[in-house]
Amino acid sequence: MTTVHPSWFLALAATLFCIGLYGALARRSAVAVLMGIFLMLDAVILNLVAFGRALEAAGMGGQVLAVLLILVAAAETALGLALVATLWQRYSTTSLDDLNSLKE
Amino acid sequence: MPTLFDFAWLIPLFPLLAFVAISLFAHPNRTLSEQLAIYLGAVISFVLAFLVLLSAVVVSGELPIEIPLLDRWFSLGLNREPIGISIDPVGAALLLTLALIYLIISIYSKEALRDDARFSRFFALLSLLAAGAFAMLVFDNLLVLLIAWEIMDVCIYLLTGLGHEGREEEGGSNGSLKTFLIAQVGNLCLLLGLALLYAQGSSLAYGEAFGAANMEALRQSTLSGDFPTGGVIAWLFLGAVIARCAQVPLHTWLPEANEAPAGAGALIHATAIASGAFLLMRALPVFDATAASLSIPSLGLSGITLVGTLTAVLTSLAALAQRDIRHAVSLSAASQAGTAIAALGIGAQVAALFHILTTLSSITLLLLAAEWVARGMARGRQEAPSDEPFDAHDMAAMGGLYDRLPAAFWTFFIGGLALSGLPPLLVSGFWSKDALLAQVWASNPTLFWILACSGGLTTFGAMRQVSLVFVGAPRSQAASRAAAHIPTLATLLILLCILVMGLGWIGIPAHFPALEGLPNLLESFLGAQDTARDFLWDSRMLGLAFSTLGLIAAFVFYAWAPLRAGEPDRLEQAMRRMWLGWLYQLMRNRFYADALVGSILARGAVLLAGGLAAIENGLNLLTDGLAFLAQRVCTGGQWLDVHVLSELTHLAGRAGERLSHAGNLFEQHLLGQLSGLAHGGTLALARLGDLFERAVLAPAVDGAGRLVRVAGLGFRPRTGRVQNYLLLACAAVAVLAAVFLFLFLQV
Repeated sequence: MTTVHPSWFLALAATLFCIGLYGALARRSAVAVLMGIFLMLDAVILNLVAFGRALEAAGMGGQVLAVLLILVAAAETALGLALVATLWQRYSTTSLDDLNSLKE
Repeated sequence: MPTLFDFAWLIPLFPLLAFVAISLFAHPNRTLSEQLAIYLGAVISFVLAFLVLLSAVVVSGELPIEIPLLDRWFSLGLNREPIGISIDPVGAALLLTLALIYLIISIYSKEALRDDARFSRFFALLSLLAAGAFAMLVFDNLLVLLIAWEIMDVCIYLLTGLGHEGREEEGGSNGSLKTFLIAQVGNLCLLLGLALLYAQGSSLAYGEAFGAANMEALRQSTLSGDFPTGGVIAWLFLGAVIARCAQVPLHTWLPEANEAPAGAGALIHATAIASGAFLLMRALPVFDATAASLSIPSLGLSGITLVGTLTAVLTSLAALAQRDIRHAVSLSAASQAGTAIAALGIGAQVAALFHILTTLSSITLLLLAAEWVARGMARGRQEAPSDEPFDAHDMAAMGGLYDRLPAAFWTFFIGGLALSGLPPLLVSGFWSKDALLAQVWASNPTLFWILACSGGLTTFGAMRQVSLVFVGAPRSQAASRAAAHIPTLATLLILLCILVMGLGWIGIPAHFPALEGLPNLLESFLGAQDTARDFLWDSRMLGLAFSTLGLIAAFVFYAWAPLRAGEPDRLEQAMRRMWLGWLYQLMRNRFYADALVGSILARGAVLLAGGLAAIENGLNLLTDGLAFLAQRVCTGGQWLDVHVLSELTHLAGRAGERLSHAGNLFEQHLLGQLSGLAHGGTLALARLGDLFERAVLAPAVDGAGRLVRVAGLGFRPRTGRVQNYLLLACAAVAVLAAVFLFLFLQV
């Protein structure tokens, strides 16, 4: 049985994280930003599982934490979407360029 | 073989289930809510608590009984924390008392809040409060104690908030906030003490944390070489008890807790005093081991005794000047708790526990009777409406209620007598206060005089209340029409009266004349004995004398010629005449402890925030200045470009032109072809220079200028756009990560 070397997982996770970071920083729509954040969390979860397997072959620590993080990501996305819905209700726009009332 | 104690963890479980069921499901259905709360929550836990106490009494020789439940409740690093049940005499006694009070209050509140919209929420919170209190008494872990205290604090805050509902515009919710914040101060002290204790012994179970080995280690260890750890822990625990039992200077929250609707105020008083007393008794090994750090040498007293005595005197004084009927009772409760704590400080455990138990029952009786009186006044108000502001609890508006509410009078009177400890032999208050004062007399006579005085003041306060409320002529329309026929409450209060009168017989001291043969049940249950064994007539008689003096004084001041409507309080008049008006003001405002604590803590926090804001403004000014400087530099660069460099190149161009003219002339007159070439050459050079300037220099300088401008102007970080902020944050993280990796980890 051939195994995939852990460094491949890390590379994939890093790529996903960068894509997610781009999405969070450079997209105009709030929903797209949420998607980017979710991608970043996915990358972290992937990392956890990979490291968990690599460092602690018999233990479940990495996977347990990964399950927890999936829950966290879901909850956070739900919260974020609720925020987007409220934004839409109040300002009729979800474009982050227009939402700059904190400007001094 | 499983005994009843294995199921002791069910006692807090049932009220918790009631809370969950009511808040999640039964919310809209009031009948279901009340049935859940009363039967599922209160009745079952009361029955269980009763059985637990019975079993505990039966096996009193083997207490405390410790039953491990879970070997690994949670892990802290490499330590596995177990959790188990620990039933000991103090816990079992308090458990039954609290369960009984909870049951009584649930039954009363069901009837009192019948038409109220807050019904389900109230019962949910009441169940949770009881669940927290029971959990504290049943489990064997200090961490569970802390969690239970936090749960109780949240419930107290929410319950008092319920009472303020609809009156927010008067700023009433500040009271519940104050309750919560003072309780948090106590919880912080407890958490710190707990953390230190855990660091010392790596265990939070009572058996080990307060075990002999840990105490021995505690005696030796110091914190950073200067402070003895044990002393710090002892003071921290004492701080937690001060906040909990409403001792001075944190005594102002207990009167506020009365805002909770129906009888919840009584349950709040009971659970708060019980939790403080419970912690104090559990943590006695720590206090014993660190007695040297706790004692105040100039007074020859332990810190505990000092706090207790101070509270006993100050709160009983403050109770004399209150106009709200419930506030006076709360402050008297704090005073009695202070007396019990003072007794614990000199090592009289049995007497202190006894006094706490009797205080809990008398306070509940008094608060419920006050509730009855208030209901009567509210009904009277309904019959005689007027535009004046009305407070159903204001004693200045009451009077002559003996004729209108006779049953309320008797219950309140018995409660007041129980609190004061008169008459002898009949009320439990007498037995407990008597035992307590005897112990104090044996150990420290000065302390005895002070505590006896505070006992007299309490009697004065209780009888003052009775006179103001029930004696004389009604002082307002509402009082003259007061009426409240509440059979449920009447039955419950009669039960409480019987309890209050009968509770005393469990703790008859040894060598009491004419009662020599009767056993002291409390002592045999606790397995401990107080030191002073002989019956001393002196302390007994003096204690009784002080209380009787208080009674007579109250009679003379208030009942001999009852107050008429509009007449100011007699005590206030008397003190003003003796130039003690300032003292009366202090008493009225509970010694301004609110203002003191507020100015130290609250204004201190505001000042700190102001200082930090000023620092931030300064930093903003700095960055603005830098940006301004950068802007000036780029303008300067532009000026340089426009006025100097291009002039130079233009000059070069013009010079070349002049030269070509001269060459022209030269050529015209002498050279010809060669000069034409030279002319053309210089022209070409000029154009090249121009080209160079346009294509290379200008853009370069312009670019430099723009760069500086961007650097100066563009970096206005506060654009208001989330993603810019996010970018800044990521950049900061990247920089920090790089620093961390390359500097600290030496990658």
